[in-house]
Amino acid sequence: MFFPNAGVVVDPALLVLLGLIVGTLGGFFGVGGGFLITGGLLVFGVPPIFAVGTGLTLVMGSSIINMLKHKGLGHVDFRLGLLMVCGTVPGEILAERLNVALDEAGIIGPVIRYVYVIFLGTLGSFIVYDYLKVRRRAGATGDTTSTESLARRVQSLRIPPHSIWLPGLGVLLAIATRRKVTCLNGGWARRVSTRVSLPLSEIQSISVFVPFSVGFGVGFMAGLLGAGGGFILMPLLVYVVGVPTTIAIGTDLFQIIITGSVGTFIYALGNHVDLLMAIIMLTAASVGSQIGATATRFVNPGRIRGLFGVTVLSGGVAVALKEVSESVSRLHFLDTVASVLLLGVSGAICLVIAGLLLRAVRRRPAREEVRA
Amino acid sequence: MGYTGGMYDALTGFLQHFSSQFPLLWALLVMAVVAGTGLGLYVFWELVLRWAINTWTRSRGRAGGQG
Repeated sequence: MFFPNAGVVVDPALLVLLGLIVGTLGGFFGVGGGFLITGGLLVFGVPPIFAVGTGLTLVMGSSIINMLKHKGLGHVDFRLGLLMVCGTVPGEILAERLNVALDEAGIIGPVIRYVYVIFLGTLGSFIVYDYLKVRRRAGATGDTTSTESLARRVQSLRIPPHSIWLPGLGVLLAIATRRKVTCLNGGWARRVSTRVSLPLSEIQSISVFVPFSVGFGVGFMAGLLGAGGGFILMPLLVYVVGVPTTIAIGTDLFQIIITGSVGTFIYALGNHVDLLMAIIMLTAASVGSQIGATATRFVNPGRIRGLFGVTVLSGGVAVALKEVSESVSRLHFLDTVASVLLLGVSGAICLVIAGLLLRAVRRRPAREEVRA
Repeated sequence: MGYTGGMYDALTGFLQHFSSQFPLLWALLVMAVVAGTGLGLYVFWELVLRWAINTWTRSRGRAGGQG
């Protein structure tokens, strides 16, 4: 089939397969899957700039479906998501500046790939190590991680200022309670505490500067690496902030919608998005989303993290292979090997997810299934 | 190319022309179409799943009653 915007002929069956994989992984892990889509589209012969642009468009669309699905399951903490978004945007802007400087120095390609390899390798190894460690611990079930004490310390961090004046809040509260705005009843500005409670995330009290910093860090890394940032945010929320795995997945998707939308707009403005290709993949991704998101309700959170670790590790290996293929001209074929490896591992993980879901559904009594 | 025909050709022409002539409108259209399709697909699958679960539960209940 000919795709007019990208100007290439691609078999729609391959796009459907890619969309299905991305949707399943997105729903199960709470990631956008940008690195997977771009790699896959490049293998299918789509020009690189269109692969990135169309990939970001699919990230946006599939994240909307996945987020809505997780919202229905009660997995999205909007308060936490909004606090993080405040940090994400400045982080992305700073990363864009750094990217321009690296580009001018002519070292952007290798720097990004090295950061990717180190980051994905370390993150993937840690997640797999944590999964194995927790699994070995006697009696450890459910959503236990090896970094619980770190999360508790992060939640109890007292970062000044402990309260701030919010201009306009007094007026908003007066409108909400239908009172007259005067200087005597609080007037224009109000003093509010910088510690918030996030009941859905099972956090009694946390400084707003913690989610803000997490959002900033993720925005910076996402902007630097040209990704949605889901594969960084989900583990950060679980291991550092102490958010339950399923809530981290849902909230993560809320954040990806924002980053994905910004990316889609920028690339579409430059006419680097193939709408037809994106819609075909999105339709397939919607099926995968149902499988992935529903599976999070049945599968043990520890196992979700373990599978996520394997996916991240395979991503690290794939990027390392790409770096080798760029450095050594004789080994150029490794570029294709990397993409095929990434797609193969992701496809296999999707089959495991579908299998786990089927097994869990069969074991549950009929009444509980209906409630789900 | 495989796919030809009046409607497909018209769509191809529209996509090529609109994306190159009106970049801002094109960017907004892309976002609106993707967001709208996402919402539509979510609602569609929710309805399908609800219908499937209800049908399955009813058939299981009937089979249980007979047994």
